[in-house]
Amino acid sequence: MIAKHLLLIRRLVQTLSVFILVFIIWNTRYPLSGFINPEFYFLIDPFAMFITAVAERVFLPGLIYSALLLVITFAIGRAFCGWICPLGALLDFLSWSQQSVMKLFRKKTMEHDPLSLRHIKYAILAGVFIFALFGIQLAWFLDPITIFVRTFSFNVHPFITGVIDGGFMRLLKITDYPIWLESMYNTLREGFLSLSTPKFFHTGIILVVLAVIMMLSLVKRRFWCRYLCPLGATLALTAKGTFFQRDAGGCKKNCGVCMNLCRMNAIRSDNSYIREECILCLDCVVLCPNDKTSFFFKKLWGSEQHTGGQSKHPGSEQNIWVRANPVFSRAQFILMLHGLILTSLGATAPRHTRNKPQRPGTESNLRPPGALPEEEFVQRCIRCGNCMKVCPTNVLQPSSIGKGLGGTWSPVLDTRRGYCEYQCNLCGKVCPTDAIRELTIKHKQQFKIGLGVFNKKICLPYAKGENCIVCEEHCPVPDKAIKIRTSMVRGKLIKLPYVDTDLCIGCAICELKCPTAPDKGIVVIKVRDA
Amino acid sequence: MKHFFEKITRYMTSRKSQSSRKEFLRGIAVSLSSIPLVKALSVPALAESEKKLKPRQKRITQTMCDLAVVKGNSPAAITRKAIQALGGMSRFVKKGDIVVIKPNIGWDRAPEYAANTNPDVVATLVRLCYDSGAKIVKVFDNTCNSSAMCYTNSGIADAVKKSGGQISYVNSSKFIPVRFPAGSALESWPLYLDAVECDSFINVPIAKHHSLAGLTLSMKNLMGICGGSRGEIHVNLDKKLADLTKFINPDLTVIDAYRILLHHGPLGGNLNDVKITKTVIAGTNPVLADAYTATLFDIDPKKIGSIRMGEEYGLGSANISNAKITKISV
Repeated sequence: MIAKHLLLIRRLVQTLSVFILVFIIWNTRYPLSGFINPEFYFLIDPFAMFITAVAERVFLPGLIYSALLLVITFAIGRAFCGWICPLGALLDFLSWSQQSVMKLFRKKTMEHDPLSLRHIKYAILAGVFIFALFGIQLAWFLDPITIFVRTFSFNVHPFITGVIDGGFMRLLKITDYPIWLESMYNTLREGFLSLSTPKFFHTGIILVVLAVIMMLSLVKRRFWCRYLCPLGATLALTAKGTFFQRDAGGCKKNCGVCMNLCRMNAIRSDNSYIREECILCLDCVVLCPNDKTSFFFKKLWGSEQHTGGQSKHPGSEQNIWVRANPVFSRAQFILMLHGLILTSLGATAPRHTRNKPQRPGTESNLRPPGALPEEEFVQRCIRCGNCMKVCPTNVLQPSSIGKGLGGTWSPVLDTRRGYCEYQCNLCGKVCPTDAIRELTIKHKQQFKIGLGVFNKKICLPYAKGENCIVCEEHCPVPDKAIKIRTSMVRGKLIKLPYVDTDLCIGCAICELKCPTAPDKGIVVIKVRDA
Repeated sequence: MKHFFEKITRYMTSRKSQSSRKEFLRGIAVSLSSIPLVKALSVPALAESEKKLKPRQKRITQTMCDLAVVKGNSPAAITRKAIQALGGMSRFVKKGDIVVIKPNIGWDRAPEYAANTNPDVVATLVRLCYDSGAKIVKVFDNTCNSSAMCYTNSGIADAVKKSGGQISYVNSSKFIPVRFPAGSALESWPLYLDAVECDSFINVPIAKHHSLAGLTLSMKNLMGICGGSRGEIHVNLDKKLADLTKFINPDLTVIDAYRILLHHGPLGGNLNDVKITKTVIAGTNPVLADAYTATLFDIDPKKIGSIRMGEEYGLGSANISNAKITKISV
């Protein structure tokens, strides 16, 4: 009975997974409620976690959670890809709608025997891994969860809030602000929208990455998952030895239905299948016209004489094994051992990129409070966008590609858009790889992001001889990091501001609120740790 | 997929779908005729933003004294007593009025730090307004720090909600450029629509130190209804504040001096800078209220630029010794 509804259940689980993730991202904002853990989906992501851990030679708590996922994958196969992965769900939805349209043209997708293209993903994984061995973390660009979250945070969420917010503002203006509509708008803003629509710059390319992945899935279903996804490759390596296997031994018809159904193109024309490619979508089980396909737990050890058609009980399908191979072949075992040795070597090897002189371009970038030293930070950050999403002032912006390829999309403070809120430590709380350390409010209030420096050619009291003091007014440090001395400028007694370098934490509210334009009378610069 | 594209390209290049000259011209005509439609939809909305705001008129009310100064342990009780000493809220708020209460919610600080108006004072005023028959009581401030954090951590959002007032975050489309009378320092500045178009405006600042203005009192508190790049107001601040006060003409000024910030204003952050004076000052003359509050800091009111300028502008007298001041201890 359940079998008939398995597809429906899978689709429900996929939808639920996407909704949970979207809910989490949506609510990654001030005030962060306790039950939402914005790191969750990253913590169970073995690709991002292991690559970051290897590149940085650190132990991340996420390693434990993601190892759990690997254990599950070893037991039952790549169910994560088929049931949980939000990007996979998105691609499935896309293919499903594509096929619904295609039906109008009476065109069916035809599959051939599995392509060797699928090995590309292992090459990608190996490449990323080798880079990680040398201390360069590239998981940020290729991790599917990150791609999904990043695109949602940077492109989708601002768009949706912008449209709703703008629509309401328009409506209010036209209807001349009726009280009931205003209170509705207020409630909506408080509970659902952001108080001001977040804007992220240089993020068009992030949307393009997802768009390309989605386009490819129109050519072949789950193109990304079949051929490219390094997380899929990680799970596939684990799933090679899974003992939860497909069984279609009893089928002699070779009607090709399941082969064409398989979204991963994992079924060969002789009805056998590639174990590690299967994502347990169960299409072939439910939609088999002959009800011949099923999944069984296979014995890990022991004799397996039942091969192909030479069964002792020809009628009962349970006893017919597809292949007589043991779970691991010798070659596979050696490969796995090899990988294990490489990983442990990688984790202990000295890093070559440390203490390299910094490029001048990246030096001027202000990092969020609690960020690791620049070199480490760039390698640790997986560019998930959580910190930028949660930032209440929108000061955290993805660094553009032009500012140095290595730091692309990592968070920097755009001090013309916002400032670092004095009593806020949310960015550290949502970072899945602890590139931004979680600071207590007290520690955060002492963390030096940068240092304010007056430009006396622009600052009004110095340059024009007019009282201003907006910077001092806004300075959140209790004893004021911007101090004032009164002195004669152009024959007038003027209050001149100056920075107390010991107290200044570089929150940059002074720069944001400084009334001069386009250049600011005070700018916050990064001071390298001595 | 390939077939799909083939079909589309075949369709697009087929004789059938190619338009004749007539069709082409017709298409152009249709698209041109849609311009008035688009215009009709968009222009009224644009015209709406050009809404003209006139200076607010103060309701002329007789009060039992010029200024009520009430001391006591409970912020709510002294606020209630101060309004009572003036003759009750019904002198300022009539039945069916739309009332604006403008506290200082500018900073992300807890009430103890005396950076924002005491939430109890605000809540009490909201209740008094409703008791006098107000239709709706609006509370808002254009904050300096992130509005969500200011509203929450100041305790004002909660207090106002509990007392039934409407607390709202400012809506950027409601800042409407206002032309000030010729000769004023502000010239033109965006002001918040709600603050100008209301029946009764109650200004509820907290008394604090401010290194440029000397003190930030009721006149400085009105900066919270300004939009735009507010830093620019700091140049020639005193005159601009007087302009602003003249334009808004608050019906009632209630200065919260329950806790006052002596140094490092207007944000503070150090409890040592906070003095607990347990006082509320209320009156219809903003200049007089400011002048009296200055004496709590042991500062000569004449030394505060905005008070001097307010007197010059005819907003009211700053002469404390001539005023009828009712002092009460609860």
